[in-house]
Order: sequence, then C-alpha cells, then structure tokens
Amino acid sequence: MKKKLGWLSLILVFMLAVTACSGNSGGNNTGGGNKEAGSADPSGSKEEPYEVVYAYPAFSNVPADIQEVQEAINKISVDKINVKVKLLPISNSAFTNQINLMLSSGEKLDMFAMLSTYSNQVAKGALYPIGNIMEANAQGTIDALGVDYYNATKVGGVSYGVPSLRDLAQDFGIVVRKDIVDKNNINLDDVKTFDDFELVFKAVKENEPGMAGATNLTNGSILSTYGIQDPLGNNLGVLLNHGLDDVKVVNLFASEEYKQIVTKIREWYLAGYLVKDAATSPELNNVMVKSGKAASWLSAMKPGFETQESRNVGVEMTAARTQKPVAMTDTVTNVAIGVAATSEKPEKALQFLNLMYTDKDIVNLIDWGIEGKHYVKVQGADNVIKYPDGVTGDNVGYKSDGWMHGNQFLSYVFEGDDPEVYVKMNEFNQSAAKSKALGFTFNGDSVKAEIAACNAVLDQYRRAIESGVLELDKALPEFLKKLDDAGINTIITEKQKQLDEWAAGNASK
Amino acid sequence: MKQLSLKQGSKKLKYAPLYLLMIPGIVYLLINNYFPMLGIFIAFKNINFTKGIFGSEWIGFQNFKYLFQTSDAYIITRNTILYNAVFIVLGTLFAIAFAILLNEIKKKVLSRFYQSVIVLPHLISFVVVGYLAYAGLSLETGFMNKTVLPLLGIDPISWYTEPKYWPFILTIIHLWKSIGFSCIIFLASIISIDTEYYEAATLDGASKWAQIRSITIPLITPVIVMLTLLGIGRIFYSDFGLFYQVPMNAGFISDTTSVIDTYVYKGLMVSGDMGMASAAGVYQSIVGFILVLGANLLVRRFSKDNALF
Repeated sequence: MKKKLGWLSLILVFMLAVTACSGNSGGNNTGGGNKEAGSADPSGSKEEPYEVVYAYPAFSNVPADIQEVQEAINKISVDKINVKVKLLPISNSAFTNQINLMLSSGEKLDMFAMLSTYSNQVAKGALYPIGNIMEANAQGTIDALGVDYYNATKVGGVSYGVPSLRDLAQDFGIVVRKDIVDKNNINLDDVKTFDDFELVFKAVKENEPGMAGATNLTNGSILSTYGIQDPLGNNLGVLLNHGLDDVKVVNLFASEEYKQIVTKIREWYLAGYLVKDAATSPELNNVMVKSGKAASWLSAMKPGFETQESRNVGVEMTAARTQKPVAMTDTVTNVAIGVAATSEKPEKALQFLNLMYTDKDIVNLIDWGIEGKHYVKVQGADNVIKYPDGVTGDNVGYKSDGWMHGNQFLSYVFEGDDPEVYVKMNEFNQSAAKSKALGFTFNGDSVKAEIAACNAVLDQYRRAIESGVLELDKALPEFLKKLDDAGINTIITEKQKQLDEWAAGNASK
Repeated sequence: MKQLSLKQGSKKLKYAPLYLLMIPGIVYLLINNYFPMLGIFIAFKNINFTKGIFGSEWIGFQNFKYLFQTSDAYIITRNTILYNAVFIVLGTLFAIAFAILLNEIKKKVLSRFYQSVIVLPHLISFVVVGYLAYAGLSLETGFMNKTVLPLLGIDPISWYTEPKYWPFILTIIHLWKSIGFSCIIFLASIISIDTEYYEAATLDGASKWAQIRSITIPLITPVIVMLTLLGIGRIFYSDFGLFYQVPMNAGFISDTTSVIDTYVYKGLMVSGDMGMASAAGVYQSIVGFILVLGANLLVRRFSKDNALF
C-alpha cells in the first residue's frame, strides 16, 4: 500500500509539473494580449483595427526598439486606414522555411517580403492575387512604381506582389580600390568591355605584389553577378544580351558568348590575376579587398554603388561600367512584397502596403526608426540624416534594410551618401533599356524535376568554371553534357512556349 | 488452472504502476515519432498553399522523379551507402580498439584524461570542423600546402577541386570526430564484464591478447551487433554536417562528397518545394527500413540471441 502511494504521488508530481508549464505559457499569452489591448486605437467608436503581420528577412539581430517603432507606425496607420502592423523580422537564412511553415500551419501572416523567390512563391500558391484588388486599395503604389514596372510583376495577367521601389534595373562592371587605381595610373575610362578588365588586373599584378587583381564574390565565383543574359527566372534557358535583341530562349552555358567569358577568366587565372581559392573560399569579398589581398571584384551595379561598397569595405572604391543599365523581370521582382494567400483581410494588408509606398513618415519609421532617438537630421538639409550623438551603427536601437520596405525613394539619405541618390536612381530606372521579356515570369511547375536536377549540376560546376580553376577543354563539355542529361532542353522548350504565348498576348493587347 | 490465472491477474496489478509510468514515454513516442508519419502523404502531393496541404492535388510519384533524373541518383546513393559502410566498419573497429586500450590503463587519472581528449572532437561543431579542415587544406594559406607538402617536396595540391582525395579526408575526419563518443559505449560494456573471468584466465596463463579475443570481444558482441544494426538502419542517412560543412560546399568535388541529404538540401534550397523534399525523405526511410529488416534477418540466421527482434 505504501509503495502504491509512492507511485501515485510520483504521477501526481508529473501532472502538476505539466499543468504548471502550460499554466505558465498561458499566463504569458494573456499578458501579451493585455498589452496590445492597452495600446488599441483611441477613437473607440471605430471597429477594432485589423492587425497586419508583416514578415521580412533580417540580416542582423532583431532590433531592440522594434516595439517602439511599431507603436509609432501604428499611431499613424490606425488614424489613416484603421490598421495596425506587427513587424516580424526573420533571419534571412531561415526565412523561406519559416514562411512555408507559417503558411502551411495557418499561423497569422498577412504580408511578406521576398528576395528572389517571387516566381517560386507564385507557383506554390503562397501569394494572394493582389492585382484584382490593387486599383481599389493601392492605386498610389501603382502610381509610384509606374505602369511598366508594375506590369512586370504580372503572372498570367495578374500581379501577385509589388517590387520595392529601389534600383529596378542593373548595369554591370568592376569595382576597384581607388588608391590602387590612382597610384598605378589606371585609366578606368579605357575599361569598356569585359576583356578590358585585364588592364586593371595587369597593372595590379605588375605593381602590387601579394595582391590579386580580382576576388570572387562571397560564396560566388569570379564572374559573380556580372552577366550578359536575361536569366528569365533561373538561368536555365536565357535571353542573350539581356533580352534586348529577341525572345529566343537559349542555353546560356552552351553559348559562344559564355564560352568567351569563361575562357578569358581561365586565361586570367593562369596568368595569376585572380584569387586562387575563388571556387571555394568562404572569405567575404569586402574583407579580401580591405586586407589588400585583392584589388577588385566584378558585379552588377546601380547608381551609388561605389559609395555603398566604400562603406562596406572601409576603403574608398571606384567603379568602371561596361554595360548599359537594363531592366529585366528578375531585376524588378528580386525584391518584392506580397500578400499571403492565407491573409484574413488582404485588402487591409494592401492598404498598409500602400502606405509603405506613399507615406513618407511610415517609410522613414520602417527604414530608420524614430527621429531624435535612432537618427537626427543633419543641419541645413531636410532629407539627410545621421546617428544622434553617442549612437553608432553598432549600438543603434533600430536598424532595417530600406531597399526592402516599399518606396525607398521617400526615405531619408544617410550622411555620406549622395543626397541626390534617389533622384538619380529614379532617372536610372526610367532611362534603363528594357528586356523584351520584361514582365514575363516563367512558371516552372511542369518541369520542376528537371529544374531541381539542373540546379544540382549548376551547383557542381558553375562556380569552379566561372572562377577559372578548371581546364575548360574537359570541364565545359562535361558540364554541358550533364545539363543535357538533367533535362535543360525540356526546360528551354517549355520556357520558349510560355514566352511565345506571353509575347502573343502582349501583342494582341 | 484457476490459480494460474489469478496469479497472472495479480501480476498485472503488480506491474500496473510501471505501465502507468510508461504512459508519458509512449505519448511522447506517439506524438514525436508516430504521428508525423501520417505526413508521408505530402510526398505524393503538389503542395499549393492557396489550396492548403489537404486540398492540394495528388500527383503520384512525380515528386520522386527528380531523384532519378540523372546519373546523380546513382552517385549519391553509392556515396551514401559506401561512406556509411566504411564508417560503420572502421568506426566500430577503432572504437572497440580504443575502448580496450582505455580499459587497460589502470591509472584512473590518466584514463580519464585520455578519454576526455578522445571525446573532445565530438563536442566541436561541424561548422568549426569545416574551417579547421579549410585551415589545413586551403590552396593559398593551408597548412598542408604551405608546410607539409613542401617538406616532402610535393607540389601544392588544389584539394577542393580534386574529387579523388575526398573519400580519405572525409573518413579521417569522421573517425577523428566520432570515435571518442562510440568508444564510451563500448568502454561501459567492457567495464561491466565480471573481473573474475580475467582472473581465471590469468591463472590459466592466458596472454592479454588471448583474454581480449576470448573474453572481452565475445562478451560485448551483443552491444557490437546492436550498434551495427542501428548503424545499418541509418545507412541511408548521412551525417549532414560532415558532408555539407567540411567540403565547404565546393561543387566540383561533389562526385565524391555528395550524399542524399546534401543533394536534396542543395537542390531544394533554390525551389523550397515541400513535396519533393518529402519524397526524398520517404525514399530514405523506406530503404533504411528495408535495410534494418534485412540486416536483422541475417543476424538472426547466424546467432538468434543477438538479433534485435
């Protein structure tokens, strides 16, 4: 009997422990709820404001003052459209997975930002077709973007998301340390084509012992984001010359142009112009350049790219551009915001999204935080800001990536950047050449097995080939053969078919 | 007869508290291990979030297609099985050897010290291990290319673009990292062997080697068999950290470093397709399940006592 009592008491202890745990979390929940209720809208008579949960990828820790910023935003948005927002930064590496989970588990999610995953999310049905209710709720957004760029987001005639307003086109070239350029009298005006990069590399090789001409992009190749193609979503089947000439889908890697580029890179590699470890090195490109191990890297660019990279590297950089700016579907949609398919009130989410494109106060709250606390205006300039005294980039209570959140052109310019940078960027966007396939989004659903297989092949060969470490006579044919086996031609055929249909639909309009 | 059943009844009663105690464990197993198995159906669906998981269409075996699209299916399956087979054989051998050696060290302090040293690598994250390996193998700054190879008069080797070296590199790193931990399990079972056996053997004049061969090994055979069986059951699951972090994601050596887990991870990182990822999981589980059953069947053939079930 005594023994039995012992068992029973043990079980009781277990049960108590379990209920104690659940009781605890319950308490926390109600605590949170109360807090929210406390800050609810003051007008009282209106219906309860709808809360829009906005998730976006974050590249650093969750800012300490995010709650405060959120409340400041809510004060404005409740007044204007009776909507509150909940900012939900999610670490970028976990972002796509987390969004998948939130969507499939039915967790509340209204709006999220996408980095290069727009067409995938559309195909997976993760996004609400906002195009249908766009005019009614967010006409301001369409106006801010301009019809051309807004149309670039349409998939099958309906838009599922809008790009953030930033650089919507790209040009391409090389960024070099300015002191190296000046010291060795390199005339960057002479660098007009891809092959001309050699001028820089050669000068570095001859005059700067221990420094390579170019490094690879972090986790990328020497070629990095430099390109000659309109990737049409995934680089498997592309338009050459950024789609400015025709709409013939070809295999980039089998093209003569690609071969010329990688042959040149191989030459440079053998001549000792490039970082030897480029195909595997985990070093950051800015660290490589700062530490004097390399002088430059190739990249896709935008206005103000030099200042941005100077700040990243910590050494003044300058750039030479070898291609004119061009806008492609990928450059437009690679940072986009969409409304989740599971959103309870998509129109409310859209109205808030509209504020992110039209309301200067909201944009600056999301991008920079609260004035006086997280930034102050520089005297004598009304759109240039800096950190308050005693605050630095390391200890500021709120940080965010302005290029992601709606209309960056409405945000303040940080001290050190060209005060006119957004004006220039706008001109850049408007003047950029447009790919003939701008607005076409490939739906890879019917060939997704081939895409997965081809991606595995790209993963195996591309970085090594584009870094010059492989003997091309052997590696390139091997690479192409594997791509063929993986079914790249099936993808190209399907892509061409969809592109033709899209083009025909456009012509008839 | 009646008495017997009564006895059984009282037995049941007697063990009732124990059964009760089992409940939390079983509930945990159900929730954590059995309930998720229902999710197997995701592998046969084309997941569309607008329609929801249950509303998405059934597409049969299409999600499995990409696994067998290229010769990659063969390469990754081969790599997975061969690496794991080598790991099981060498890992067990080395672990037993180390356990026996440790057991022979009679000084407590020294024995503890060695044991800690051997276990230490097990505690290092694979991300760190990857960089340690990189410090050794980097083309421009690596220890091998800067110090060891010049001493031997060999030209620098570009390790991360030469697939042929990687089976050895990965095996060595795996052994270095895992032996300490598995050797503890063997050591525990060796320590539990009654010392009288050894005393008797010593009296009979048996050498150390003979003692190990005829006493230690036979007595820990059940543990060896069990660990091997468990290993075989997981032969289709590779150590993701080892195969992903240590080769530094260098694509070109993937012919010898790519295993099912890393292949699937890399392929689906881009598309993030739940259906296809689940398909790979199902493929792994089913083959793993068949292998456990098969291995157990074999063991039962040769020694019934040692079989798991």
